[in-house]
Amino acid sequence: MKTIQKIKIRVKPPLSLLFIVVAILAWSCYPDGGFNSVSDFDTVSTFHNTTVNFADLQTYAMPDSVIHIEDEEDLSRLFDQEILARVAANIEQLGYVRVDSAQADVHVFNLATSTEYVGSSCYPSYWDYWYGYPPGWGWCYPVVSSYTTGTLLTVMIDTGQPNDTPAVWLAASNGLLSSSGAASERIRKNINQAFAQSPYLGDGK
Amino acid sequence: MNFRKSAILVSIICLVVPFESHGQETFSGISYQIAFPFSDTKTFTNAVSFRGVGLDFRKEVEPQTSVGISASWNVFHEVTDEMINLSELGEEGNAAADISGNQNRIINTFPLLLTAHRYFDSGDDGEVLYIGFGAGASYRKSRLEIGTVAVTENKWHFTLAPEIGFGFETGHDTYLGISVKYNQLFAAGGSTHAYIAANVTFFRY
Repeated sequence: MKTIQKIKIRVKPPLSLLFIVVAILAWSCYPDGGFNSVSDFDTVSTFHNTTVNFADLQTYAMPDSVIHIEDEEDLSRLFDQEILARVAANIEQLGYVRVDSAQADVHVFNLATSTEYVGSSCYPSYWDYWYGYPPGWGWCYPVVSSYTTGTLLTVMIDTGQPNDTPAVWLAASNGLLSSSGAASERIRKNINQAFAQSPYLGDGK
Repeated sequence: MNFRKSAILVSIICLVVPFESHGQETFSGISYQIAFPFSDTKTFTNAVSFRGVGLDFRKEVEPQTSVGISASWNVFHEVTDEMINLSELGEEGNAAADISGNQNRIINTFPLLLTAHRYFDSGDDGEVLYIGFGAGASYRKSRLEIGTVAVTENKWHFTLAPEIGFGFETGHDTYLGISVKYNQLFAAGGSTHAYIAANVTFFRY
């Protein structure tokens, strides 16, 4: 007759199992930014030459249109006039006086692009047809990918410097120029932010 | 190796490593950790971390003294719109940048330490006070998300981690430990990180 040997099994859940459960829980609540709306992804970047004395720059000239570069079909011109007006209002609020281009201390350009730049890139400077500027005044900076929402560039050039001198100030507002809701509000907010974070532009005025 | 792979690897190791001990020579613990950032950790993510988990394996090498290994994972996370200021940019170092926008800042740290602990009986009910010291390396993954761009930095840091704790018996072969561990991650990649982790550890012999 066979005897059945009873085997006493001690049930003791391994600590490793507990660790796995905790790790899964930790992973499941891994943080994200909680950004939901399109405007949450808007960024405003400004760059300037630290050797420039902006107190010497008192007058400006600005073309009456926004230059659309590349992929123009992706960009709406619906907000061009609003952009120009907002930029002009901010510049003049800083104390610059608008004059003809020949007399201006600085030229201000507004450019729109929907091109996707990845990583640290230089915006191409093929808009040299404008005022005859040759390539070279563009500034390299860590470009924020714009996708199809568009990027607005506002560039300030010192007319007293050689033509191949980089811009003295550049602002890039990413995520603009889409025709989605609240675009107008975002344009206003981001252009204002570009000037708000560049108080040195108003030095000596 | 990404986080998910790391978590899987750690989990597999935990399954393979024999947790069950013989006698009271070895013991293992799993901890929940709350971490308070200092140094560059605080500069980058100025927020208390409630996402932390750790594993401890200890072996008594002589009465009241153990050596072991410790592995943990702490996640620091902050959502902020704090301005990012960069200076000395460009080839000539005469450019500066200011970048604004919503940011998702995350630091993951994975300290892997060799540890030594000394225990001091402090009561008849099995309470024990202990001090410890850990030395090893920490893998740090810092990530900044702004707009549609993410910048990641991965570094290994030499790490020292003194610890003080208190434990009390909760069952036949289980202890609950409450400890504070200071993690100093020495300079790597131009940054030094530090945080104090408050640990609640479930130990089992």
